[in-house]
Amino acid sequence: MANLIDSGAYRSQVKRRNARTLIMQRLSLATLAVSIIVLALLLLNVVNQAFGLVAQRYTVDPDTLAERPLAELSPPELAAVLLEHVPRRLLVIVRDNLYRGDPAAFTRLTLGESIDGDVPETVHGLLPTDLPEAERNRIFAELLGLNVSEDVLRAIIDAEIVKTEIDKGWSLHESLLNRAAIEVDMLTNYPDSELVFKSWLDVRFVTSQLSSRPVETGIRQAILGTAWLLALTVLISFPLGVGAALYLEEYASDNWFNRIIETNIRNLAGVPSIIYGMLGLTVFVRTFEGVTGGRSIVSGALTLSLLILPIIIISAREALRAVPSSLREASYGLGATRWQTLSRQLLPSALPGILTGAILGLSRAIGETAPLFGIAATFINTDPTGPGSRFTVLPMQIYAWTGQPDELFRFNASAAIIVLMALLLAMNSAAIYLRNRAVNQRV
Amino acid sequence: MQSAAIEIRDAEFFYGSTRAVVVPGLEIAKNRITAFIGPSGCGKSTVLRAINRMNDLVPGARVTGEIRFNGHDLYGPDIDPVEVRRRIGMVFQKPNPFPKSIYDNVAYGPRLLGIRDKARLDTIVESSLRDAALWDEVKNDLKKSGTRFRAGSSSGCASPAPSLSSQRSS
Repeated sequence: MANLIDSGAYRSQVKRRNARTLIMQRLSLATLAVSIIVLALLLLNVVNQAFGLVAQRYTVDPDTLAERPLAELSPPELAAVLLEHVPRRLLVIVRDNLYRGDPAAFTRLTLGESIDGDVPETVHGLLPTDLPEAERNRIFAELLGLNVSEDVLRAIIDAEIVKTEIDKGWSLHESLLNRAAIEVDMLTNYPDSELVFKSWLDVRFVTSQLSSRPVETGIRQAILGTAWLLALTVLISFPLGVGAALYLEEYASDNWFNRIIETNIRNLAGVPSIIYGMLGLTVFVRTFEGVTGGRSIVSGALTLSLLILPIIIISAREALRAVPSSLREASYGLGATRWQTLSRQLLPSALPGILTGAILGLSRAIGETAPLFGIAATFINTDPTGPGSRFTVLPMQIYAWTGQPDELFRFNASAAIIVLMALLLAMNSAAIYLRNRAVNQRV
Repeated sequence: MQSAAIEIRDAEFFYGSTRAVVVPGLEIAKNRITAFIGPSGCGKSTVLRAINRMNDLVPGARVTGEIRFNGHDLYGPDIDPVEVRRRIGMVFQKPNPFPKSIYDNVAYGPRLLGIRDKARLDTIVESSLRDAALWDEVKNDLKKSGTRFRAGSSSGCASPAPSLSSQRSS
C-alpha cells in the first residue's frame, strides 16, 4: 500500500486529475465573474443617466413669487400665487385637477356637479359662465386651495409660472469627476442658468402625467397602464394555461393529435414577440374591435396572454409531471377519482412550480414592447380607467423616449428603467414569497 | 372449501407488447392471509396491482383473462375502476404519506367517500390509528406533518375496504 502511494506514476496521475478539476473550477468562476461584471455595468449605466448636474433656469424666479419660500406656503396661499400670476389659466387648472368628466362639458355643469371635492355652499349651484371673470377666478383659486395638496399646487406653479427650463444635463459620472469642465461649459454656453444637482427619478416623476417637456414629464400613465395590463394578463392567461396543462398532462391520451399540439406549444414559446404583436393587431384590434374596443388594455392583455401562454403551459406541465408518482398511486389506491386526486394532491403539490412558471411568464410580459406595438399608445395623458381604456406601458415609454431628438429625454428614460426594474424586482420577490409560503404549508 | 374472494383464471399481464406474467389459475380465500413469494421482478406486484386495477394508471399495461372478486369480473365492461379501488384496499411497500398532517392523511380515505362530519372523522381517525398501534405515539401530534411518521400506512386502514391486498418488502 505504502509503495503504491509513494510510486511516481500514482502521484502524477493524481496531480493531473486535480489540475483538470482546478481548471474547470477556475473556468466556471471566470464565467460567473464575467456575467456579474456585465450586469453591474448595465446597472451602473442606468444609474449614471438617472442622476447628475443640470443647467437650469426659470422664466420667473420662484423666490420672487411670495414673501416666504414656496415650500413654506399653505395650499390657499399657493392658490393665491396662481390667482395673482396666471388668473386666465385657472379654469383649465381646475378642470384638469378637480374634474373627471368630458372636458367639453365642464362649463355646462354647476360647480356642485362638476367639482370632485369640497365646494362651499354659496357657490354650489353656480355655472362657471354665470360669473364675471374676476369673481370666477377668485372662486377657482378658493376651490384649488381647498381640494389640492401643496405638492400638486407647487408642481402646477412650476409648470404655469416658474417654467423651469433645463438647457443641458450631465451624467452622474461626469458630474462627479469632471465638475471643472462642466463649470467652464456653463460660463461659456449657459451664463443665465444655474448649476444644480438633479435626481431625474423622484416622487414627482412617478406621480405626474406624461408631458412633451422632459422637465415636467412623469410616468403615472405608464405605471397605471402596466399595472392594468399585467392584472388582466394574469386573469386571462393563468386559468387558461393551467387548464390546458391539466388536460394535456392528466386527461389527454398519447395519440398523434395531442403530440402535434404539444410540439406546437413548445414551438410557440420560441416565436418572436413581434409576430404576436402583428397577430394581436390584426385579430384583437381590427377584427374584434367591437368586443375589445380597438387599441385598448383588453387587446394588449389578450396579446400578451397569447405570448406567455406557452410558457405557463409548459412550466405547469413540468410541475405536474414532477409530482412523485407515489402520491398519485396512494391517492388512487384509496379509491380517489381522477378529479379528487387532481384537486387534493396533484394541484397543491404542483402549485409552487406552476406559480414559478406564471411569474416567469409575467416577468417577460412586463418588459415586452414589440407585441404592444400598434396596440399601446406612446404619448397619452389620460389615466387608464378600465379595461377598455387606451394605455401606454413603461417599456413602450422608455423606447419612445430613447428615440426622441431632445437628449434630455434620455435621462427620463433611465429614470423610467429604474422604476421598471424596481417593479419587476418587487413582483418577483412577492412571487418567491408566495411560493415559499405554498411550500411551507404543504410539508 | 368456502368460496374464494378473488379468482384469477387464464390471466396474462402485458406491458405494451411484452407479456410480463401468466397466471393459469389462482384462488385467494376469504378472511385468510395469502402471500406471494418469488424472486425480484417475477411479477408479484403486477398481479397484485391488477387486482385493484392500479395497472390502469400505467400506460400500455393490460390484462387478458378473468379476474373475479366475489364473483364479479373486475375487468367487465360495466365495472368502474374507482369503485374497485374503494372496495379493494392496497397498502404499499414503501409508506407514502401525503404532504399533509397525520390527521388529514388518515382522514383522506373517508373524506374521499364524502364523510364531512368532524365528529365521525375524529372517531375513524382514532380507531384507525389504534388498530395500527400508532395512536399513543402520535395522538399529540395529529396536526403535525405526516411525512415524518409511518402514518402513511394507516391511511390504508381508514379506508372501509372489506379486503386488503397487502404488499410488503421481503
